[in-house]
Amino acid sequence: MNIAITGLGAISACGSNIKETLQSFSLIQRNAHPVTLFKSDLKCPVFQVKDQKIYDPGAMRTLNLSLKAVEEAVSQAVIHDFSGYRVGVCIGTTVASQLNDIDFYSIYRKKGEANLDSVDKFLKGNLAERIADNLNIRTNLLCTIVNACSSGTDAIGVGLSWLRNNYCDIVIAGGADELNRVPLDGFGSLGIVSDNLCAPFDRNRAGLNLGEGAGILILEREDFARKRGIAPELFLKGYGLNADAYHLTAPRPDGSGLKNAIIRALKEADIGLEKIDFVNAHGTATRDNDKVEGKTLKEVFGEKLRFLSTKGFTGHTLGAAGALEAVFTCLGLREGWIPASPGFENEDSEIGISPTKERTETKGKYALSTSLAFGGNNSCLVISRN
Amino acid sequence: MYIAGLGIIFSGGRGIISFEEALENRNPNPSSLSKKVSTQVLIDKIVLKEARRADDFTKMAVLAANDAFVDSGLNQEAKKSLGVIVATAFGPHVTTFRFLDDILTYGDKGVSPTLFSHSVHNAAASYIASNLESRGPTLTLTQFKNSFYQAIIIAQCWLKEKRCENVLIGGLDQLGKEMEYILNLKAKEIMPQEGSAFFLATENKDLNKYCSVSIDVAKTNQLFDTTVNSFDLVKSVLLAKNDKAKTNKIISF
Repeated sequence: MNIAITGLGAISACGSNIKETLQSFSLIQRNAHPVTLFKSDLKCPVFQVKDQKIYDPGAMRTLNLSLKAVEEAVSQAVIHDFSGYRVGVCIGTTVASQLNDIDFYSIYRKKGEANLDSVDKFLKGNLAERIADNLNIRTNLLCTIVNACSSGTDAIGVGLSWLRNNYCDIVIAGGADELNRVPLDGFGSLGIVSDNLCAPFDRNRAGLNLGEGAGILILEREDFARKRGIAPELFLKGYGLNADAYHLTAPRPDGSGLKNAIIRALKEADIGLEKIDFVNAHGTATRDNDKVEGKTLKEVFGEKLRFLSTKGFTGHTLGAAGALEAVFTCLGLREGWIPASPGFENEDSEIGISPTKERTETKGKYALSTSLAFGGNNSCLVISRN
Repeated sequence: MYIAGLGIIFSGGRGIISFEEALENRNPNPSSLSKKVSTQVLIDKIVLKEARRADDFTKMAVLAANDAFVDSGLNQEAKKSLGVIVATAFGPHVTTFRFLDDILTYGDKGVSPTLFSHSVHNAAASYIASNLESRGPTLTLTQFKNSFYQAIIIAQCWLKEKRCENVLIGGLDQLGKEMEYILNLKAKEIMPQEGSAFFLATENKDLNKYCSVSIDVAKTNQLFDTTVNSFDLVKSVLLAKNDKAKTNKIISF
């Protein structure tokens, strides 16, 4: 059963839609600045979305980011009305799942009570439910995935499973997250936030920059899309998910969890690894992630592999990252080129391979997007074009 | 899919026997005896060796998941490819609030990395995988009402797609005082409790110890009340197992 990707939507610091994103990729624009959404003693750069459209003034920022990307993806898929379709909505996130409202809590801990208006944003903010509500979709296939930084990838993987099992005809899948003081402080406490612009896979990389955004894919069975009059160009061919069972915050040093996930995704796609034209890597620019991921990619695909990290354009968007990077992987296949990996200058001898340093033409039919996450999750997607 | 093992942590204690005793005491809802799980229940130096510094949210998950695996009688080899799906409404919010305490007390630069890493929703699933040395797929999901229902659907998919041969499906929630305060004001109709229930599910009929569970996904196209509580499912599974009159023991949603 072929699962088609018929719509793409993306919003991040490198663009509020696909067109702007491609322009930023082409010009290697890096829109990072000190955070202005909240006060912070941390002066590191972040990748903050500008001029965000507000769909629901009472909603969390993450939901508004999601709705922007959903609007673009649904429009691209030429769906005007979901009624009559069997639809599932599966969205990954981290921030939107947590009640980390400092304003509420600071009052509550002082007085033992507090106004709950701000808590409503959380209680009414489950992403899958709210996106379905917004589109008047009536379904019980609603799932919000919280697998840390691989959430977006895993949400797309769950959507793939729903379709393959014929539980629905169309899935709105992806991920979203907003910049928030809690994860910024948390990553800072772990010593993995860079004071400068991030430099994925670079010898001198010094940590990540946080970002925000949303990436959405419209998935549907190919036959269903064709019945709607759509001729799909892109397909979701495989998904792999494997645990490290090693450490809460550090990847397994031998990379075997990631390797297993890659093997599974390739097997599902029914292709050999030589078919993969490029890999959109997780590439956060932390010492540990890039070392393990880079070494594993080299071990699996060899030193001639073309790969990139787009974190230098978007920052690490956490629950959105895997979904945004799945969208970027689709764009690489569809547009016939992938961008440079901003921030990378010098190869790390411990990794032994280098990501793209400039715009690079792509001619192959298959690409891989990888995600590694807190908790030892390793997830990847194989995407193909006609 | 068949239920091969059960594990439960609830306000009345740990394990199936405790739960059945509570049921036999004719308490319609055993966990209504108390809202909280006793800290004494969460002491197990062997099972929680790797999770000894983890929060109670994670400890409840690791113990119930471990017990479900042990109850299934699966061998050590089966651990390696075990799938894990954790469903929760509110995640480790108690730890999140402790982390907010750090921010408010010590500022952005004075927070605890340990609290932060344990405040992430999938920390519990990570510890389950480490404890069982499982390298299979591991997923955490959250919905306020029907997260456990969604977990069962995904488990069905994983087994059919052979992502794993066996999968632990768990429902898990903690009840901190802040959440209790919020729910008392915002959701008076529900009686919040904490606990954790895990099911070892498999397609292998030979491993069936209790009954089979299935979700008719065709119904997902007609909105219905999908609230499937993991504790209620434990109760149903135990009743199905003990009902001698029933030969075809299937719980369908």
